[in-house]
Amino acid sequence: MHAEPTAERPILTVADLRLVAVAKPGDAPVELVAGTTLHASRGEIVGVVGESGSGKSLTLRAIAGLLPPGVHLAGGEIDVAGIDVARAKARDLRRLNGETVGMVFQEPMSALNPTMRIGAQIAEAARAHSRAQAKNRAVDLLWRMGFKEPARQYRLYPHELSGGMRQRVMIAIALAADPPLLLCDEPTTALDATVTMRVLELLGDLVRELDIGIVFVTHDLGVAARLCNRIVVMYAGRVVEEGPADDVLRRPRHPYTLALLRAVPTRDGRVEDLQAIPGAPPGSGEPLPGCPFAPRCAFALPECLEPVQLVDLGDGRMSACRRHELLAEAARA
Amino acid sequence: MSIGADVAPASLAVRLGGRARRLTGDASLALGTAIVGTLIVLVSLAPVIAPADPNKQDILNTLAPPGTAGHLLGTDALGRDVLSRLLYGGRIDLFVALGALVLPFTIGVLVGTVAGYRGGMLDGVLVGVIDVVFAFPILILLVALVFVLGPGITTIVVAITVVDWVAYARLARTLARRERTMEYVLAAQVGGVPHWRIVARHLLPNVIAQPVVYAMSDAVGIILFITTLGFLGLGVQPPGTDWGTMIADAQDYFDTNWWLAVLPGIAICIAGLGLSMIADGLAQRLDAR
Amino acid sequence: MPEPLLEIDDLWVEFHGRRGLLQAKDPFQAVKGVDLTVETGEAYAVVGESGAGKSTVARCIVGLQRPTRGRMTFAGASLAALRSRRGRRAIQMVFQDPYSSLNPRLTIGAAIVELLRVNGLAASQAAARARAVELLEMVGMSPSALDLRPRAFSGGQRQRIAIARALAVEPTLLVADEPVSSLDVSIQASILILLKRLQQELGLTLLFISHDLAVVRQLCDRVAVMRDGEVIERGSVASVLAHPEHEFTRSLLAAATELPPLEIRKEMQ
Repeated sequence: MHAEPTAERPILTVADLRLVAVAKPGDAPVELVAGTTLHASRGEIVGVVGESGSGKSLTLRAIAGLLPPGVHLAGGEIDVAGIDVARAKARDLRRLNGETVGMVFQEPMSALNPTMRIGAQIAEAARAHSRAQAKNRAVDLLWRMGFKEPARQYRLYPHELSGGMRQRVMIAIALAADPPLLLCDEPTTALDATVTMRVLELLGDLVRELDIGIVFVTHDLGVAARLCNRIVVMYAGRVVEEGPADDVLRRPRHPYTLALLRAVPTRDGRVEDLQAIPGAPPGSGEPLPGCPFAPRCAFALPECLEPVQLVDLGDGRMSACRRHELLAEAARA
Repeated sequence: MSIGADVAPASLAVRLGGRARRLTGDASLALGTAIVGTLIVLVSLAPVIAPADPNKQDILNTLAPPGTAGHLLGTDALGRDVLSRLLYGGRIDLFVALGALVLPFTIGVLVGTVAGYRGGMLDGVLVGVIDVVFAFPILILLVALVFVLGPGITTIVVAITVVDWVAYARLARTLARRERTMEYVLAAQVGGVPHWRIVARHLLPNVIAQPVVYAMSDAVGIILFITTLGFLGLGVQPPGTDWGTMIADAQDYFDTNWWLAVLPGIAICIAGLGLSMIADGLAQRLDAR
Repeated sequence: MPEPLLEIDDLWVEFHGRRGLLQAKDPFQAVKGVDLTVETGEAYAVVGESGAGKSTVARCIVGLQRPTRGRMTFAGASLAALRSRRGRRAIQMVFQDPYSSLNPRLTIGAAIVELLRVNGLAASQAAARARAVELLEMVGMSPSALDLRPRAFSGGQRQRIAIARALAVEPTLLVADEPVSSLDVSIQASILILLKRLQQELGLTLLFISHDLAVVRQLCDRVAVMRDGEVIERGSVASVLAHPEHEFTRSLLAAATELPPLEIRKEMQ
C-alpha cells in the first residue's frame, strides 16, 4: 500500500516553525510549537505522529494558513510549492488555498455543509471556468473516490452518506482545485477500523495517480505504519524523531518513540510486552529547559536538562535525543 | 476539529476565545451590579433618607419645579414630594419584582428539572401545559387575572407566578434532558443513588445557571409589568405609590411639568438597564466557562 | 463446573422512532437475539464496530436500558428481579468519555463518598473518606485528589477515578464500555494494565466492550464479535484471533493495529 516518492520533488518545507498563543495583548506568549522542521515531496506520504499537546494539528493548520485566533507565527519558514506561506497576507492565502493546499479534517459532518448537496460542494471547490466544467470535475472526483454511480450520487446530501463516504467527499473537495499538497488532520480517527482501511487505500492510490504529496497527522501508530513513507514524531511542540516509516518503527532512535511503540497494543504483540509510559505530557506553557521528554525518560541523564537540537543521523534519519547512539547500538542486527 | 484537542490543558482553548469576551462581560456585570445595588440600597433606606412623607399633601406648594427649597425634585399636583415618592415607589417596584421572581423561578426550575429527568407522563403533561400557557398573549393573561382577583400586590405576585413559571420550566426541562444523558448521571444511577438525590445533587447544580441568567432579564419584564399595572390603576392602590402610578398621575401635566412623568420613567429605565447588564455579564461568564 | 456469573439468553432490544406526523417508523433493532455467558473471574470482550449493538448490550446488563425481550441471569438469579439497589450494585460500569463521566461540580471525594453512603457501605463521613482514599490508592491516584474537582485531572486520571468510583460499591462484575478509546495512546496502556491488575487482585469479572481487537487481545480471555446487533463469532481470544471463521472477524483483524516487530534488544526496553 505504500506509495513511493518519485524522486525528490519537494512541495513543502517547514523550517524551525514556532507558534505561540497570546490570550490577550500584554499576556506572556505561550509557546505551543517550538522549532518544528519537516518536509514533504510529491509522491510521498509523510505521517506526523503525536499525542494531544504535541502540536501536530497546529503545525498543519499553520501550513494551511488556518491558525485559530490568538495563535500566531513567532518564527520559522513555511514554503508550499514555492510560496512563502509564513509571510503571505491573509488575502493571498485565501486565493492559494485550494489550489496549493487541500485540507481534510477529522469530523466530516461538521466540515461538510449539511444543507448542500455533495456534488455542489465539490464543484464549488473546483474553481473551474464554467459550471459545466465544475460539475464534470466533481463527477470525475466522485468516481475516483470510489462512488459507483457518481452522476446520481452527485445529488446526495451529507447526512445520506456513511462516515467513510463523507470522508471521501471531503477528500474530493480538498483535491477539487488540483493542489499538489494534501493535508490531513486525523481524517480516520472518527471512522471504524474497516472503513479506515479503505480510506487509507484510497489515499495511497491517489498519491500514485495524481502525483501529490500528503502530510497525514495522526495519533494512531498503526495507521501511520500502514500508510506512510516517512514518519515524523512530535512531542510537546517539537519534532523528536524523523525517518523512513519502517525504519523508525523497527529501530527508533528516540526514547519517546520507543516508549510509544511499547505502549501500543498490537494485533500480534505479546501481552507481557505492553508497557505504559509513566507520567504525563507537559502542559503548554510549562517552561521546558531541555528535552521535554526527560522527566519521563528511562534513559535520561543530567545533561538532558540542557537544550537539545534535532540532529541529522544520515539516511534521512533525525533525532532530538542526546543518547540516540545508545538506541542505535541497541538495535539488533 | 477544535484545537482544544491538540492543546493539552482545556483552559487554554477557552482562554484564547473567551478572554476578550470575559472582559466586556465582567465590565457589564460589575456595572450592572453597581447600578442595581445602588438602587436597592437607596430604596431600602427610603424611610431614613426620604426628605418627606410621600403621601403628605401640601396644597399650597403644588407642582413646584425641581430645585425648590425642601423639594429636590419638586412636588406633584397634590404637593407631594417627588423624591420621596420615587424612593418609596421604588421599594414597591423593585422588591415586589425581585420577590415575584423567586416563586416562578423555584417552581419552574424544580418542575422542569424533574420532568426533564423523568420523562414519561409527567413530562408529557408539562409540555402540554407549557404549550397552552405560551399560546396566550402574556400581558392579556396577566391583566385578566388581575381583573379577576382584584388589584393589589398579592394579585400581582400570584399573576406573575402563574404565568411566568412555565418559561423557567421549559428552560430547565431542556437542560435536564441534556444532562440526564451525561455519563456521570448514568454512573450515579448504576451506583444506586436514589432519583431524588440525583436531581438535587447532580442535575440541579448543573442546570441552574441558565435560568438564573434568564431570571435577570425576566426581572426587567416584571418591573415593566408592575409599573404598567400601576399606570393602569390596577397595581398598588393609594395610599401606596409606585413609579407607574406616578406616571399616570403626571399625564395631565405633561405639557407644563414634564419631569413629573419623566423622572419615574428614568428610574424604570435605570433599573431595567442595570438588570440587563447583569444578565449580559452572567451570560458571558456562562459562555466563557 | 461452577455456573456462569452472567448469562444472557436471546436478548433483543428495539428502539422506536417516529417518522412523519402520524406514522411510527419501523422499530430499529439494535440487538437481535444475543446470547452470552461470562464465567466468574474471567475477562470477556465484546467487540464490534460502531452501531454493532455492543454498548446497548452493556447498558442492558447494567440496568440503564430495558431489553425488549430476552433473559439475563446473574449469579443464578434473574437480573430483572434484581432491580433493587442491593442487587444491581454487584454490576458496575466504567464509561467511555472521561470528560462526562464525572460530575464537574462535585469533588472526587464527594462523588465517591456519596456512593458509599447511599449504599450503606460506610458508617460515617470519616469512614467514607478513608475508604475513598483506599480506593484512589488502589487505582494509583494520590489522596490529594479527594478535594479536587474533575477539571484538575487529565483524561487518563479521570478514567482511573471512574474506575475507583465503580469499585466503591464492591461489584462482582465490572462492565467497561470502551474505557480507553478516548485516551491518548501512551495512557491507554496504563489503564489496561490497571484493569488487568485489579481483575486479578480483586477477583473481578470483567466485561470489556471495545472496537479494537488489539486492545482486547492484551486484556481478555474470551471474546464475542458483534455486527449489526448479532453475535457472529465467539470463542477464546487466542483461537478467534488466530483462526477467525467469519469474514467480518477477518476484516476486523486485518484492520487491527499492526506494527513491524521492534528490533531493539530486550534489556533496552
